[in-house]
Amino acid sequence: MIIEISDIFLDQKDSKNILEIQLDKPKKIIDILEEIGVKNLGYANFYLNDRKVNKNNIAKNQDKLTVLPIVGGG
Amino acid sequence: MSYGYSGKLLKVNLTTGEIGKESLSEETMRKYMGGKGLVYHYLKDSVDKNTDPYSEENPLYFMTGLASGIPTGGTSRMVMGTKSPITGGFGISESGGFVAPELKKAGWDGIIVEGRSEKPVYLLIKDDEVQIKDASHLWGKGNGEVNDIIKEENNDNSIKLSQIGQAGENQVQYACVINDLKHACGRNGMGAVMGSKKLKAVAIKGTVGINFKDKDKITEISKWYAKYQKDKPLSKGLYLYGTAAGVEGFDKSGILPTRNFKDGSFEKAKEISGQTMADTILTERGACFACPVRCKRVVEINKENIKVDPKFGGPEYETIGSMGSMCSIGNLDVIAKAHEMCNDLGLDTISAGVSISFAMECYERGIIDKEITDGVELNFGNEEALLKLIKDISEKKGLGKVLSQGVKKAAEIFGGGSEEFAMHVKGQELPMHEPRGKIGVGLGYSVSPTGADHMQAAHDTMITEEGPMLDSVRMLGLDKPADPMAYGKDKAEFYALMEKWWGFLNMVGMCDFIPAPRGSMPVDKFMELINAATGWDVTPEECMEVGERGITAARKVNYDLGIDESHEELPKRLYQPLENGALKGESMDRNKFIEMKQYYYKHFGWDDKGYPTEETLERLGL
Repeated sequence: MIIEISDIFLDQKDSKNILEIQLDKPKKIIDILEEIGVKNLGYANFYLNDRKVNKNNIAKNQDKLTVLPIVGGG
Repeated sequence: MSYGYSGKLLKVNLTTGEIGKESLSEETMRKYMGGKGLVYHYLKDSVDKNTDPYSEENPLYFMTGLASGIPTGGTSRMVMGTKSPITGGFGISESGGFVAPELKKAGWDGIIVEGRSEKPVYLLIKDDEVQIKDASHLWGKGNGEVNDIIKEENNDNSIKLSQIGQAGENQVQYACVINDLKHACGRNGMGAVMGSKKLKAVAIKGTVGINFKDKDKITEISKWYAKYQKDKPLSKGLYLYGTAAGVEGFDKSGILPTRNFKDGSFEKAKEISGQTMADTILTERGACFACPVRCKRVVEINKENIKVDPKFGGPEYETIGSMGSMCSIGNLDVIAKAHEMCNDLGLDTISAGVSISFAMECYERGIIDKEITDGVELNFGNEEALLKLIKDISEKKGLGKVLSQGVKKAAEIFGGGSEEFAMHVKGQELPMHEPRGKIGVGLGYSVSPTGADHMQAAHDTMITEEGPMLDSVRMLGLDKPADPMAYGKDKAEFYALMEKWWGFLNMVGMCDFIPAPRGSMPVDKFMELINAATGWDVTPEECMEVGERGITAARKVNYDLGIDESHEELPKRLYQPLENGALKGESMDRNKFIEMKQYYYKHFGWDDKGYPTEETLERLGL
């Protein structure tokens, strides 16, 4: 699956924003992101194939996951 | 001795030329903490229903707060106040930058401007030496040029300036006050009132300093916060991409106001995002006074067909939305140019952008034609027309003259059913937040004393589940997340609690992007900071009560001025379905909305018409 992550959630400057990984089975979004070491997910919004979902939604290999910051005001 | 504030306000009468001072007691300061609260304290006895906002009877205030000037970050806020020419009621507008800290360093907690000068003047404040200076040579000039001239003629490049451009001089209803060219007291027509007083600028140089109770503690917290915030997502997002960090998220969530709120998604959202700005025209991440977060943008463009001067900073999210997706313009260069023009001319980018977007829709619907647009094909996406109209609005020329009065008046003039999509509340244009995906924000637009305003409370998309965002505000009494699409008692209480907290921040002079929940500084650390500055023992409970006092006080002024529940109608378009995006087909439910508003009134101790009860006024000392 393709995962696109905002720089805001990446520790290192040279970390890649777009990753392609293979899932051995469908998994919860939160589990996938924790496995690849993405932190501070309490401040993120998740979009699966451009649809807003929550961290417990199940993602599959064919999916595209986008992780963006929580949207507020200002 | 007072700590954290001086206890005195500068009082200037432009009719008589009198310059004096007004004392501020500790009792008053503790009751209101500054900003919006002080505006209420002075405005309530100064205007009535019959006061013309442009008359010499209408005062204009520049107020700081207890936090303004503490060298920690976020402590830059200035609140301007007046009887608003837009709403006819309680008017305030806030800005960051450097003016408020500089004013406090000059020994003043605020400025009360009364009367009206016969000729253009500017106010020069160097500590307690205050002069009303001739500004005839500055009248008719833009903010950029005037900024240079005032600094040069006073031989001081470090002077801080609040200014009006030609839009303020011409009393464009939504003319704003620009601080140091990059920061705007954008809303409620502060620039128009300043222009009516023929006050071109307030120039400030402060050397006295601010007397803090525990300087060591303030230094300790400041150093700690500068380091702490660096890797926190809320601060990091603002640093990397500014307030426009959310453009793509708004778009994907279907809540990016697009084409006059017809749509919730813009096909060119990525091209106008904070990320794209960082990759293209951004030259510097700027900051307000002492702020380590550095959310301000500085952009520069030097192309053959378009040039943008970095001295005006760069566009915020609100400008990107109002001049970009709202007008269907996906060209960041053009949006940056629109931003530069508005800062130079002194126009509120939100009201200007929404007014132009409204005119574009009227044109596409055939309500107005080329005869009205002076031959311009005013379709959505017309970049040249956007820039032309900004100038015409500031000069009140042609179609610009109609749009300079805002969409409420423009709809009355155009007719043809255009009031259905005139996006305003109490005459003030909606900011770039979509109530059909954030019901709490819709409540905020409705009940805000200043008309549609997005900075009254944290938005309901921020705390949607258990986790660190909710944990950060449990201390304020919030113990449940919010469903952005929900109505009802819980949503009313969520909004009310967040409004009290942000209301307090607007009073104390603190940026909403520093303390939780929108910023990374924990609430208890912020309390430590205020107490180190003042020597007081302020608690979150006291702050929430101060915030509540400010909200109720503003409402009381409005009702006394005839701005009551009947002025709280949302635009009809919000009760119609969004036409595209993730929330396509969603509309607000009017009955549920009205029921929610009753819960909100009840929470504050107001009657079913929204007027504070005698018991509530007494409890809050109003």
